[in-house]
Amino acid sequence: MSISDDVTEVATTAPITPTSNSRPPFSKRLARSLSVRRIGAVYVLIIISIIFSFWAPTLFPRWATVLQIVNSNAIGALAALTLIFPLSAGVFDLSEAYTMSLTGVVVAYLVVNHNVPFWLAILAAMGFAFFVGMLNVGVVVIMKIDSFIGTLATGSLVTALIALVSGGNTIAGIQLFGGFAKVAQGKFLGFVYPVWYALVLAIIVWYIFEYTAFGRRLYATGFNKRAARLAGVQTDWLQAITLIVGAMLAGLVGIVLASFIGAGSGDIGTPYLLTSFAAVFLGATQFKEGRFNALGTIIAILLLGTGETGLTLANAPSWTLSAFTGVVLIAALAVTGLQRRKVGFSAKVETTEESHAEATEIRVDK
Amino acid sequence: MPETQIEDVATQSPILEIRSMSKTFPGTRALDDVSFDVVDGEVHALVGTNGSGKSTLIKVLAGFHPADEGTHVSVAGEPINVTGHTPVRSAALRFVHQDLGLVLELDVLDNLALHGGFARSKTGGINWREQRRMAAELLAPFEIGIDIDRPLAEAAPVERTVVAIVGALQGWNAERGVLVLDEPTAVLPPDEVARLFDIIKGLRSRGISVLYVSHRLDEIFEVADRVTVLRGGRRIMTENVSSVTKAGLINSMLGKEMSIDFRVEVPVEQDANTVLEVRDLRGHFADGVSFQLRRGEILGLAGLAGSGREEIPYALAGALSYAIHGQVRMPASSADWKSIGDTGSLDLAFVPADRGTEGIVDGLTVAENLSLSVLGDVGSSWFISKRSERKFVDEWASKLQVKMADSADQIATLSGGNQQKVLIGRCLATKPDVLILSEPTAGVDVGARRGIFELLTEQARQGLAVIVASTDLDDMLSICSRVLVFQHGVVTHELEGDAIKEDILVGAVEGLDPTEVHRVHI
Repeated sequence: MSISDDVTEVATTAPITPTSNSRPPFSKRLARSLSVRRIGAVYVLIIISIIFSFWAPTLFPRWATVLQIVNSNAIGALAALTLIFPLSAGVFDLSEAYTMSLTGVVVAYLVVNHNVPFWLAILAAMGFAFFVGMLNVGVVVIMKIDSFIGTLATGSLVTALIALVSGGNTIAGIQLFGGFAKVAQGKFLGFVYPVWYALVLAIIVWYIFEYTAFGRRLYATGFNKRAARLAGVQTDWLQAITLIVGAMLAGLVGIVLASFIGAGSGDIGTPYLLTSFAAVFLGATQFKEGRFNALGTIIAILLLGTGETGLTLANAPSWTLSAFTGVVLIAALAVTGLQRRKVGFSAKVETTEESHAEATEIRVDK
Repeated sequence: MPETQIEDVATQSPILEIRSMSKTFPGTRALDDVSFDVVDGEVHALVGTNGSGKSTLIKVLAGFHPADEGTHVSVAGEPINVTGHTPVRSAALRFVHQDLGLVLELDVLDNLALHGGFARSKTGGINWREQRRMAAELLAPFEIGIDIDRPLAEAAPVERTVVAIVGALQGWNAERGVLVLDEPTAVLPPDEVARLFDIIKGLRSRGISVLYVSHRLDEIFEVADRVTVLRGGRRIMTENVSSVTKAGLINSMLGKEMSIDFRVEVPVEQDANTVLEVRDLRGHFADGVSFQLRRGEILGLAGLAGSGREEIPYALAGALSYAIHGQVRMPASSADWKSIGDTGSLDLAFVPADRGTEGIVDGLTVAENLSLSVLGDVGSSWFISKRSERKFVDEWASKLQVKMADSADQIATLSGGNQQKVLIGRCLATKPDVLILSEPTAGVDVGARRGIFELLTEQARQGLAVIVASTDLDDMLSICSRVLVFQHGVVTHELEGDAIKEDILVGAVEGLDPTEVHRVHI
């Protein structure tokens, strides 16, 4: 038997599996990208805006309200966008809120107590932020401590460092109203500077995760570290980089915050800890099916901020504010949780065996 | 061959009757008017390729999917409702699903209790003495001698399967009933498969009927009395196993004539360069393994579980968590021997054994999985050009014949075989000198398996050196130009060319003559 004959026969008798490379038509893709499942938060945002417009017709539907919502949530957006890097790579960084406090305190301390030029103080504060990032790398990547607990621990160390620098006091002074105030205090087109910073950061984050190999590899690392590593992705390096980038960005946000309020305070970043995580996770349910992403995070921040502002303007009792945040989060995460389970289930179905139809059924399921 | 009289089986009364079972998903009819019976005391095999509907059928029976109206199922004469959203469970219909549903961190006792509940004392606490007695009693007929206080993670795979079977059979007091086994051998090495078959035959002799779902046709001839073939959601045939041939089964599964044994041997030129040399490799299992790999060669690594066969690919890919010793060199790049710990710098690509946890990145799309290892080549080294990525993906998807709706779909929506093609493509795209695959055809259906074989032989013809480590001897028989057989951590046989035959290979793997290294070349 000649081998070439055998091969020819094999080639002709092999089952021909239809191969489809073409994308579905544009209309289908558009419908898919506008589906409630994909951008549910956008629809909710529109709906609650309409509701508030009727509930508080004289106060809510005004440009001033829009400005207020956007301006008052800019720092929150910055803090949330910062989290996207480590989270995408599968790492929790709970220390970032503390890092925000740290850099603010360091800058205020140096400027107020030692009359250091503010740009030098900023540089020094960023050195501290870098140090926190390295500390996190040591704990999470090198010592392989679970990041959730590990960064909670480093967060405590950062808090200790803050107390050491500030003596537990809020540091404010006339010196902070000079050049340093110009970092964040000021408006352009009615929006405060931090809004523009958040916009720039969002675009950068969006671009990195959409169009760079680095961003793609971060996602791969977060989804399946072992598989990514076997595919040649340097997962440990990437996680280390995200921890440092995260700490540095948090440091910058902390400086912006200190400039914005004109003081350095030891617990100023703490309120952002939970809200920024909430926004990032809520954002991950939007646009990119389970991926932490910039656009989703911004929408999430706007949704939560609009609810809060709207309820205030409508004179709703104060407990409704927290209740709103809680309900939105649970609803969004429940929908994603459902998605996740179904994707996980379909993965199992598909790896064992099943037709494409079943997977489709799982996604269109009500 | 089955020991029961087939003629008797066919005339016995049905224990499981499936009548006009249909299941429609939006856009597709996964099951179309399927009817067949499982009769008392038979092992009834259910076979079909991916998408044939056999998995859907099992899920309908288990109450996971509601069937279409008009579907009738009865167990031991009692109709069960499979069309509603709250399926009535039948005590005489039990399931062991492919993933076994066990908690490996818990011991045997707890795992059995997960299925059957704990024995209670008067105060409401757990009556451990009674619990132990029950567990021992349940396990006794299977004679596996497993320690019920050890975590299941420490048990052999076949022992876990037995525990899952025992768990499913708890509280089984009916005389008659059906146990559904969904791909029970998918994770078992060959020697343990034989033990499982003994256990299945034991179940049959106790009057328990078995509906046996499998990809592996050889097993059907080994263990089943009758076989039902599904294709495209329809029942193609139900026959006594004694009256069908393997070729006949494959034909009905695929719906076309096909040569039964795929065998393509890529000729390796006599003076082909050596591309990889391994010297004295030692790890947990490997105990001094040396071999050479030549350009254009497909080298098979065969052996039982724990023989060292499964460790070599991971060792070469630098993917083991523990220290290994030995040296490697790739003469094309450098004549220097390197410690095996440095293989990260060698030009080899690796397709790992466990597709779900080590291979695909669930969460990324098909396209993103395909391009993951060559992101620097689609666009510049930093930035991804969506257009060149799309071109790259389309090119590879058609080269690999990946069956999918859209490359922007999640990788998890593909079948196992197509996921595997994507993984192989991911590796080939890096243009490696050496491709190493571990269990390349596990959980892959007949059609996709051939596609993978053709892909690998084609690549070898173009000069790629391939290593295939597998528990599935068909992989060796189908494409390997040389096979190394491992026992107890060393290579005991080296088979080449026409010596790669099933009987010789099985004999070598099973250790019929473990004392010396054979070099069989006919």
